[in-house]
Amino acid sequence: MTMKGRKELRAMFEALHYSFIQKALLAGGFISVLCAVLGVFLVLKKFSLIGDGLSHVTFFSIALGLFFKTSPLYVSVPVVAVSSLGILKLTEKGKVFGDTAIGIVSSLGIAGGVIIASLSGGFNLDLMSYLFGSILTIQWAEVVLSVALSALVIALVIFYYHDLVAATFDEESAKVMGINTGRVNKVLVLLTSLTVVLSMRIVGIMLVSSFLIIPAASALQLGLSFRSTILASAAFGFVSVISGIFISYAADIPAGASIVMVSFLLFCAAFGLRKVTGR
Amino acid sequence: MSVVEFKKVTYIASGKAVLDNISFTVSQGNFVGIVGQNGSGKTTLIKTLLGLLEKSSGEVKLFGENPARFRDWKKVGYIPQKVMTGENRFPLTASEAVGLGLLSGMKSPKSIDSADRAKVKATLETLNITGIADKLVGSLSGGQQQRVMLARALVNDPELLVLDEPTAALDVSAGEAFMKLIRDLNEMRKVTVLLVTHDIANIGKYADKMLYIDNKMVFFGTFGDFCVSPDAALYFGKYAQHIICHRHDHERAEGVARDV
Repeated sequence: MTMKGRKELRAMFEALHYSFIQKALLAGGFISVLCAVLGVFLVLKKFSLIGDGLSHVTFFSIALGLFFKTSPLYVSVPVVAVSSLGILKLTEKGKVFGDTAIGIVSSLGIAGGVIIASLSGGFNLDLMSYLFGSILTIQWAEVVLSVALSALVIALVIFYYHDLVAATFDEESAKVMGINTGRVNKVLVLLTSLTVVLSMRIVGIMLVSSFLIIPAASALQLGLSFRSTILASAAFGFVSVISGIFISYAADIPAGASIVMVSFLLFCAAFGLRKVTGR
Repeated sequence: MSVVEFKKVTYIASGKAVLDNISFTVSQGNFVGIVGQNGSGKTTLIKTLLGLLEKSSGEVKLFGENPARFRDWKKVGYIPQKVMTGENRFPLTASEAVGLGLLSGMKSPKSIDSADRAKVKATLETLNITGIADKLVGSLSGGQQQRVMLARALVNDPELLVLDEPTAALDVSAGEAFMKLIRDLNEMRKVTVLLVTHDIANIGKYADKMLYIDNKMVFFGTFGDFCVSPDAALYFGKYAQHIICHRHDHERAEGVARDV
């Protein structure tokens, strides 16, 4: 290893001593695994853009929280959860295509957010930090909340794992097996809404859907079994966040964008591997 | 006790009676071919039976119970019309797909233990598809995929198999092989079979009864009865009825010769 390489490596290890890096790695690591696991089910159900739609609703709920001077998190959780159920209802009962339902709710979220932001005198710094994320400035309370909620969501995914797999593969047969697919779908979108809200501080509203989609899309290139695909997706998400944070620190660029770039490079590698091996 | 019972069942969608006053009974060990043209209500009929659609009027019974209250889903194996929607990247191996069949009637959190895995292995062996156990379902041929779906439906040793056009996407020889497999299961394991198909002439080779619907019931009985049925003659015309029965006799004779 060259002198320069050694110096950079030492700088990385030194970064680990900083509290803001520790918080970013802990919260980011948990959220990345959470997003990547849920992402596999969403991508396979062709519902992957729900993350994008819900992030736009999150924009509205954050503007609402800032307008009323309350914590955006308290407003976002119920607003985004209700919107996710609204998308599901439009799809299942209203016979509206999934992407159309997401598009409707998504535009409504943006329009509502813009109206509230303009009523409060334009976009302020707080709102911008939610748009593009600020993982390096999060507080310990947010880290604890992120880890606790991530653990809760992962526990629920484990609880409903077989139901989710069956309903994702073939919903009609899952119903004939006695699986309550309506409840399974509700659990999936509610977990997604909670995840989107949790991720807004890490990667930002604009990029949150990439957390859900890219690691899952990368893992699907590998042609593995379902369980292995979930593990691979979690690994892709985790590596993207950890290396993205270090790159952000070293190159002094925004963490959210750097994480997404690493994630995309991993997707390219997985895609290339598939083409080379012909899997 | 009858396995399936329809009494004056009507299902109305968008103001049109897709099923109009349908009545029939299926007993244990029967192999019933459900035949009709596109849009005649065949798939609606089995979805009503399985509780996937709620009838507008009449009475449906599955093992003596209303499908909406039926809980013993281990007794039923089902292959829907369309499972693999061209999604060849779906990350599910053949053995994982077959294992899903074991979830019938289990409470969450569901788990698959070593005894369950042994059942999956045994079912794959019965259908002669152990060689593809670790392959992704989407990478298999149409015939192999249908065998995997059949294995998923059979892994719980069901008493009733409901198959919705299982051979529609298969070539002639794969379709015939699949139908023989179903006939053997019906004869050897006494599994009751309800099979939806377009193929009116061929179904007589395998099924012991035929239900012909055209939104309303046209005929229900054995293929032999169909050939002399005045109702069928009235519906098809005597000439068409004769051609169907003649083609059936001819193909049945050919099938027997091939089996020998």
